[in-house]
This record gives sequence, C-alpha cells and structure tokens, in this order.
Amino acid sequence: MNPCDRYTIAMIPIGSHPVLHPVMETLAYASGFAVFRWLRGRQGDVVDEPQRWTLLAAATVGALIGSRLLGIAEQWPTVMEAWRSGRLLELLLSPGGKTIVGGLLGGWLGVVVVKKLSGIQRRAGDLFVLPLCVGIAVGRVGCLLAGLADDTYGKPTTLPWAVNLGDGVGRHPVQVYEILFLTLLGIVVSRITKLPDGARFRIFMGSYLGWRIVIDFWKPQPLIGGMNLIQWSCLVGIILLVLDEIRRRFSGRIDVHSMVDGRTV
Amino acid sequence: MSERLVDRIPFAKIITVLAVVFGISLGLCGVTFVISSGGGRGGGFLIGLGTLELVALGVSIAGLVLACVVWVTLSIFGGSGEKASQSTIFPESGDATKIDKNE
Repeated sequence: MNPCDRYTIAMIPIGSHPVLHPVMETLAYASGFAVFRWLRGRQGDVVDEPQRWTLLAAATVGALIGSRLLGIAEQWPTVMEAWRSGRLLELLLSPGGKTIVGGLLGGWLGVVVVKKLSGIQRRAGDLFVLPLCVGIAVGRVGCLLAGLADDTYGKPTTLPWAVNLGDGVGRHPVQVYEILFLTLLGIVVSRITKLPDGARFRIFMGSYLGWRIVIDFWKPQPLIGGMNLIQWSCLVGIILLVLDEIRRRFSGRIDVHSMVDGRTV
Repeated sequence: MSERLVDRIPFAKIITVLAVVFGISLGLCGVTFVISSGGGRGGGFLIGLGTLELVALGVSIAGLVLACVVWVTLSIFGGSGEKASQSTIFPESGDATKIDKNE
C-alpha cells in the first residue's frame, strides 16, 4: 500500500488556484479598511485624523517591510543558497513571500518608532483590532484557494474535513482553522468592555502570536531548534508584549484615559 | 495664517496607498510567476497582467521612497508658512503634547 493512500480517504476538493490569491488579498485590504472606517465613525478615535493617518502610514510601511523580510527569511535554506551564489538581491526582488506575522510585528515596530519621533503618546492600536481580524480572515480564504502555490497549507491528515489541494493528499485546512480562530477572537475582544487604551490591541497581538506558535506545528516548514522562523518570531513578539506590560505596571504609569467611572481598570 | 507645505500635502495618505499598491503588485508578481512557470493559459492576458503589475510595482516603490524622503525632509526642515504641524513626523517641541491635552 502506498504510504500516501491513507491520506486519500474522504477529502474536500479545493485544488490550487494561485490567481485568486491577489484577488482575495486586495479584498482583505479593502474589507479591513472598510471595517476600520465603520468602527472609527461608530466609536470615534483617541487621536485626530492627521495623527491617525501618520500611524496608518507607519503601520503599512512597517508591515510591508516586516512581512517581506520574514517571508524571505522563512525560507532560510533558499536564502543561504542565494547568499552563497551571490543572488541575494535577486531573491529579495523575486515574487511572492510575505507573512502575516512579519506584517504585524513590522507594523507594530513602525508605529512605535513613528510615535516616538512624532511625540504621539496615546495608545491608538485598539481601532486596528477588528479590521485586522476581518482582513486576515479574508486573506486566508485566498491562501486556502491558492493551495500548494502558497506556503501556508497544512500537513497531511485522515480527518473527515481534510482538503485536497490538487496533489491528491488530504491536508489539514489550517487556513480555515485560522479563520474560525479570528472570528472567535474578534467577537471576544469586541465584547470585552472597560479596557484601558491599547489593551485590546495587546490582547489581539498576544492571542494571534500564541495561536501561530501552535498552528504552525501543522504546517510543513523548515525548522530551527524545533520551531520554524515564524514561530520563533511570534515568541519574540510575545516576550516583547510581556516586557512592555511589566514596564508599564512597574513604572506606575496611570493613563487618565484608562479610567472608567472614576476607577482605574 | 498660511499652512506649511508639509501640512498641505497628505503624505501619510499617499504613503499608505502606495505601500498597499506595492504589496498587492508584489503578490500579483508571484501569481504571474507561478502561472508562467507552470505554462499557464491565455498568453495575452498573462502579458497584460505582467505588464500592469510591473508598472504598478515600479511606480509604487519609486513613489513610496520619494514620498518618504520628501516627507521626512520637509518635517525636519519645515516648509513655508507658520501653522504648527499635526501630521509632521518630527513636530516642533511641545506640539504633540499640546494636541493630546486638547483632546
């Protein structure tokens, strides 16, 4: 019996449609921005419009650089080969290779840097949480439809909801798992009330990075020390979040905007 | 009171849009690569898509770099006019604090 035969039982046919990936990616940006505008109109903003656009620009450029760098670094055996053969620049300019985790961490870093430079003190990330949940979920539909052409597919499985991405092998629909997780996270984070400014964003970041550490064990990626580069990046991100939280608590900094009904929450 | 040049041009919006266009065109580039390497169908469509994405890629990255350089330069050296900037990257001392307190 062929070792692959046990994965060919009861699969949901998806196939590989790479041309749909940029379509869904564009829809992801559009839907994320639409949710952002709706949310901003509904609940207002803690910063004024020029500052918000400055933060958006910083987040977008940071996300672009971060997602590209981590996306390329994720395929480190290819990078090492390109380095040895002097084709590193060619690799950097080659198509594809972007990651959400790199985008989130790069965007976060971009906002932190620009806030320092421009003197914006308010924690303004909360308004990005729901748009990010929606945008990433829509983008993941594109990843699923792109199939094997995208590097986000899952490991083989015999579970009844296994998907066939065109190679006849049943795989974990890890993109669907992530869409379900983001739906749940979006609902939970939106429902929690009485949170200080920025807490919603930190909860989102910590949860998503933690989720990626877990789910990426179901993806076939090159490993370094038992985890892939995205998982290590998530771990670094979580450590930075924890350190930032400790620093905030020990510095005794109380944000007046974090007060609800005269109490600090 | 005249506005400074850095306030008149919406650099943040321009940079955001260009960065998104660059990101999408980089993704499109991947699609064309995948299709062409697999001997895809529809040569005319492929050539059109490839040309469009390369133009978008080139224009967006050039515009992005240019807009960032001009924005940072104008933020540092300022532009003509007197009004204090709210969208500059490097505000004059006290600008940002003043904005925060006014909220």
